[in-house]
Amino acid sequence: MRVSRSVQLAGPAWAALAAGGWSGPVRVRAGDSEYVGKVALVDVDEDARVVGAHAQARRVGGWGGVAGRLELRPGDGGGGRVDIEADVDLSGEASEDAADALVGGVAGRLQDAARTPEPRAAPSAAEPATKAAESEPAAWTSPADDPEFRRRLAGRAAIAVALGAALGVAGAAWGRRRS
Amino acid sequence: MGEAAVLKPAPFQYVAPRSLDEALGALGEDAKPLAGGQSLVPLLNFRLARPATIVDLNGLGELSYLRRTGGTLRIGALTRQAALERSAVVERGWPLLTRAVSYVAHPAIRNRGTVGGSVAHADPAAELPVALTALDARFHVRSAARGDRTLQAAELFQAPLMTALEPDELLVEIEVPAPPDGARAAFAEHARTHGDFALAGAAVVRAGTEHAAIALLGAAPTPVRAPDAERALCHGATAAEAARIAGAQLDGDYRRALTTELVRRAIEEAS
Repeated sequence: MRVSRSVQLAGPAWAALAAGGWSGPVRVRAGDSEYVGKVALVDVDEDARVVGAHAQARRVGGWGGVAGRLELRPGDGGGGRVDIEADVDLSGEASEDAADALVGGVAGRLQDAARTPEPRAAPSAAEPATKAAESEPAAWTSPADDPEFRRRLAGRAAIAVALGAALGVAGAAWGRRRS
Repeated sequence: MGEAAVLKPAPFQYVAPRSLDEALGALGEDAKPLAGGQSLVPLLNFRLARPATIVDLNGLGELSYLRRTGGTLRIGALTRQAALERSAVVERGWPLLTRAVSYVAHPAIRNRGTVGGSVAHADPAAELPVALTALDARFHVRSAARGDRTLQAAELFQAPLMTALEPDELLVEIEVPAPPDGARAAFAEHARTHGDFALAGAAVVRAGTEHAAIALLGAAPTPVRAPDAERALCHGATAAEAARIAGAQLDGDYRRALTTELVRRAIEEAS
């Protein structure tokens, strides 16, 4: 499905887009569900002034995911507006809201990155290496990082252990009665 | 506990530079750069490679980019194959690369494998070196001592798993010129199973009778062009005739027949 959205940045749009500092983890909420994933800069078309990205997220504590290819381009007029066009695929229990939420998450990361500019230029290697800015690889967020997910998992594990123990005791009692 | 850990690879020193200059400084006679590790790590585990030092390039984000500037595609050596596959810029301007990379092993391998690693490893059955050869790509390499130089495919690929890269040199960028106007491209290969090393293959770029590029996979120790077949195509030869010319240089009936058929299919698809 196609999702479109525009976002207003604090600074010049193209500089923020091409720098790619907005790549990284995304965590969004769609209805009652939460999705965690990441967005990554894929390519920069300086001739057409379009930036390509790939975003994906999976549902926390459930089955489903959302992934898509995004095109981000500065709006007309040279201001801070960025137009986002996304082609998103849903899987499992993911709803259309999740696609909107994922693109919204990317927009949020763009705004955050524009507010706190970082020197993540991706220069051509043909340029002097000293000009090249370093960057950290994108951090990956696991559902296990979510305290709510861990609490639910612990609850289920406790129920499973209690059930197993009860069955064991019952089995032993039944065995004694038979003998 | 307390015993020395037993590892598959022979012992080596591990270096993780945080800048390109630092990485170049760490490279040398008995050092190997580690990018995606999809070829080097198995070689280490089998102890077919026993470098004294492994220089892990994965912290060098500056070498990971896909950028179109002035009509030319610039690929950072550390760009993942998956990024190449997902790139809309590459798909629109250099569809041969998108087609070729889809044949590289499986998605999990393409998520880690890098474009530069595939090129520098110079496996004669690898898809990307063949596609880049057909596209007249230029390879930018850098050394701390000797600076930069640029190589053509014919200069870079010297033998199976051997390139013209010196031990202290690093492939930093691949520059792919824009194909001629109206060019169409196709990639065809045959492997025993999907994702396996290909037995033979062909990459074709064609723009009417103005331009033809045919690069062959598995036909020689390195990716090779078929200049006679290219000329024949430009002079109006049919796909079957040009394919026969391209295959004629090969030894072995099976390989010749297979390559001829794959070249014919690729030419027809690109016409």
